[in-house]
Amino acid sequence: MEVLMPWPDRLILWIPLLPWVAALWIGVGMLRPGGRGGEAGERGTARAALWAVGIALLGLLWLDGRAWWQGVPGPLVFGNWLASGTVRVSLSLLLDRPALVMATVVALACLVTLRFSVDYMHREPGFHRFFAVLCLFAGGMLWIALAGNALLTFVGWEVAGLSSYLLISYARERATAAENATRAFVTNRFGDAGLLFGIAMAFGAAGTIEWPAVFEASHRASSPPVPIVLAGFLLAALAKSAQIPFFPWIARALEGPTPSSAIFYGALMAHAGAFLVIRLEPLLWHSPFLMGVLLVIGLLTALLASAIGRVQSDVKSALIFSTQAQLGLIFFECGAGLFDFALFHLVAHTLWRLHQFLLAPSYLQLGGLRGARPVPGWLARSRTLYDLLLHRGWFDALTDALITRPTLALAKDARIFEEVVVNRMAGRTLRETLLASRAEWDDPDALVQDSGGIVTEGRGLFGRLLEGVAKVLFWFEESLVLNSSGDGLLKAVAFLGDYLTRIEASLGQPRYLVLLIALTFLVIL
Amino acid sequence: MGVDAFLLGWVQLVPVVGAVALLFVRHVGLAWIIALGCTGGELLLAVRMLYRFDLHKEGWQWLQRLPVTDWLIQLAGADGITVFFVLLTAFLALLVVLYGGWVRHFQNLPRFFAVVLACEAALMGQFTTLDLMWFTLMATIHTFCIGYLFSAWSLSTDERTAIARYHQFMGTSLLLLLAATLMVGWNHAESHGGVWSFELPVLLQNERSPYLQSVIFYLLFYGLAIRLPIFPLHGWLPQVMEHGTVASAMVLLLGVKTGIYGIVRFLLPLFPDAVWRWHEYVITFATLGIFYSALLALVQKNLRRLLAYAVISHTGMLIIGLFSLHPHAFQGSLLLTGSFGLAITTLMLMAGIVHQRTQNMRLERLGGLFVPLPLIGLAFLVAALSVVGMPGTPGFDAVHLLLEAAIDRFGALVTVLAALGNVAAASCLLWAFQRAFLASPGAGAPAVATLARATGIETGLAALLIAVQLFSGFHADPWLTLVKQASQTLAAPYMERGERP
Repeated sequence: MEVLMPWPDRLILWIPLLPWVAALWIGVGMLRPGGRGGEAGERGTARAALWAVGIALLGLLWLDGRAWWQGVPGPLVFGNWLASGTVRVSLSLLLDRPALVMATVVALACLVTLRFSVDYMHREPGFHRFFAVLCLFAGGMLWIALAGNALLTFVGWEVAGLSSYLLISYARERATAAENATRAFVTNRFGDAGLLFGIAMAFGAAGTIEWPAVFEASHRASSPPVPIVLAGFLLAALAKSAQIPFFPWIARALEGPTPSSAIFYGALMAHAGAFLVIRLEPLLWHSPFLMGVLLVIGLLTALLASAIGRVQSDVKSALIFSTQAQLGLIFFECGAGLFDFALFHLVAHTLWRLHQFLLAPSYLQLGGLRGARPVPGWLARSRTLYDLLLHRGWFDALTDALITRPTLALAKDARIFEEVVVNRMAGRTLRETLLASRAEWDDPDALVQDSGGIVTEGRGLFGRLLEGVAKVLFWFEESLVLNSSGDGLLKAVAFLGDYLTRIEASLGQPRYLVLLIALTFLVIL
Repeated sequence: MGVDAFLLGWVQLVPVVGAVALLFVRHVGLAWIIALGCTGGELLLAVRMLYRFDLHKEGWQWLQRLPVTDWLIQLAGADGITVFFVLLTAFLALLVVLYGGWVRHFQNLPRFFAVVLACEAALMGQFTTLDLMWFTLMATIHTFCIGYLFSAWSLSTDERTAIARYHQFMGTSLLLLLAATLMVGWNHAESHGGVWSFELPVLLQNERSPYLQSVIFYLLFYGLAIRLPIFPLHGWLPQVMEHGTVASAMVLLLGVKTGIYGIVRFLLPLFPDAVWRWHEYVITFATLGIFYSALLALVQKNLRRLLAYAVISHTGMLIIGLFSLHPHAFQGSLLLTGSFGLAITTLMLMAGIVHQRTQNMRLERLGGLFVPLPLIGLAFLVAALSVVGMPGTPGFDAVHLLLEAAIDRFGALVTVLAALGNVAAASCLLWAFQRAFLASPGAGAPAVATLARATGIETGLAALLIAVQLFSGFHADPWLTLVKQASQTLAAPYMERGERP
């Protein structure tokens, strides 16, 4: 696989790595005892970040120029990354037209945002943390753009997702910030699962996950078929770009500082999904059905988001829904087969939206105290529609009802089962469980005192079993044999019925219905 | 002959016409005429079907095929089972109309009749169709009609959870049903150059891999099992029965019969390998379910909830019959389905009449009702005995056939268990009868003397139900003959699998 290449080309690998080096540098600096922190260190941090991203941008511009004169470089392989059995993943970049365009825009947007943040974040307590994460993010986005195989794309994808999580919860002492960050992250994990699925399917179809080979393989009839491979990737793209049905996370993501909102959700990360779709263009041509799906989803998202945007009462929310509407249009264009136009739209929208978001904090100053435009008449007249839009299409409520609450309820049931059944079977008291789980090591004597000494009480499954058998025999003799009026049997029925009633209460919950069905299919499939 | 050729069409069309007409009627008298005319006419049509049905002819009778679109085809055909279910539905629908309008005096009567007729139409659509897609579509319509009936005429104040549960469970059931339907059609399209079909006669020719059979079997079976309902998928029924009105519960119970019908019509003939592979599991759960719900029925304090568990317990019995895969068992199960539908309807009606007087259904606050309401009590008792399988009720022959087939197929253990389960259910129903009608009234129960006696209508209704049950009990032979041919066709794929070691 080793390909000899002239030494300047070997440096290309450093373009997506440089921001990570800067992130590492800032991070180590923060952790170092007596290290950089506070206002004094701001200068060094900012410089490291700006230089790293700036050099990456210069490198990309150089590549762009070369591509202009000599044609795009295409795939570059720098060596093996992982190998196990037939799985071979190389360290490779795919420098084709969409990759170079996207990477340049990423580097430019990151540079601008970093420079903006130097002043905006000045004297913020999380200044260094912010810059480190932003550098991490810049690297991740560059990897998404330039990766030569699906796994490297996934790496960039995850790093971008993680840094988004870290910045949404930037104000980590606020409960809402933490909750929103978790929510956004978990929604994104759905997409990540889709991406992993897509990678596995691509490997099955092409025997490798290098992008050019995967595109090549789509020309022959493969197993699994192209639509299945694509379905996973598209799921990821829809989740990342917050299309229907992964609609609501992006509005929650605005919790972070404005520059991060600008670059993550306004400009770059939300576009990663759209970029993935453009990257998959050769595959998409083989599945008109999925293109139709993209078309419909994009259109619906665009309509819904632009309508929701009209009823928002703050600048950032209005902007984010407008962003979503544009993203929906980009998906629509991809579905219609206008991939070049979609790429152009993506770039133009990225830059414009970045500008808007960065300006958002100073709108009051710029526009004076002029009120926002009122909602259009047709919207103001329909109360139901207005309510629907105000609640953002009830998507959050729906997710809560269908996924979050049943899952939480199941978890609670499992905990009760653990406490009531498993712990008792193991002979542990509730108190011991609590001690163990809360790790109250400082007073171990209490534990010993509490559990020792009683010999007559059965402990553990077998101890209890013996004790139970004895009790049942005793009870049988006492109430059914000696006291045989039939009353005992009635009591037994009532006792058993009491237990069954508890089971019955669970069976009346739809989550157990779904669980039962799912279990059956797990067994038979 | 003109009517007969299109008989199945008329059966479906009459209630639709009635329902649509009732939407525009405000006058209560006119509404009565339309509702009675339609349900009565429907009953006459069903009786005509019974007499014109050729008992010795194999295959489908009165076959008719009307493509609505490419993928939705109104394909109707009847065998003995169809006739049996159509007759039962027509009779019970008439009862619902009489009961809802005359005994309970529901609000907004024309609308109530319209929904009942719509339900009847959807049921008839399900019972006469041979097209799986049509069946699913009709099941959906039926579910929503019941949902509407349930929310618009509910009596209880905390019915909201019950309604939500109903929709959640039924929604799941419909989704599974739809998935199964689409997979069957897709499987056909795969082997026939992309042409989709959901028609039973066509689908019977298709080959399916065992793996695919298993998947579709479970999708379809669970879809139907939720509406039946079979333990442990029964969670919605007790809540719905406790909080819903009596009338909706009756229509609901008819819907329950569509589950049995779906199993008989589509599941058993289409997937013989999968049915054979999994039938022991189904039997195990059904047997467990009999005891589980009989026990729960014993500890219930609310009469309606108790009846719900009795239904679940007996569904277990029906399932044991169906999955014995034996011609006698099929005959027995089908007869039991009918007798059981009648009996439970009777029980619910009588409970409703009691509720109207006492305004509560808690057993400890009932008692001594036999004095003011003798015939109501008697009808309750007869229905309970029919559920138990007492000689002289239609349940007797059914249970007898069923147990005979079970011993043939599974040996003693399952049979003994099933019989014991039957005893358990007997005890819960008879005990309930004893507590509600015979025992001296508990604390807080209304004084027996103050309760209104049964009106003429109520007495007539009770007498009619007693008469029908006793008549069909002593004279069960025609029903058995009616479903005999179909049962044998149904059992054919399983007979050569031979005796079990």
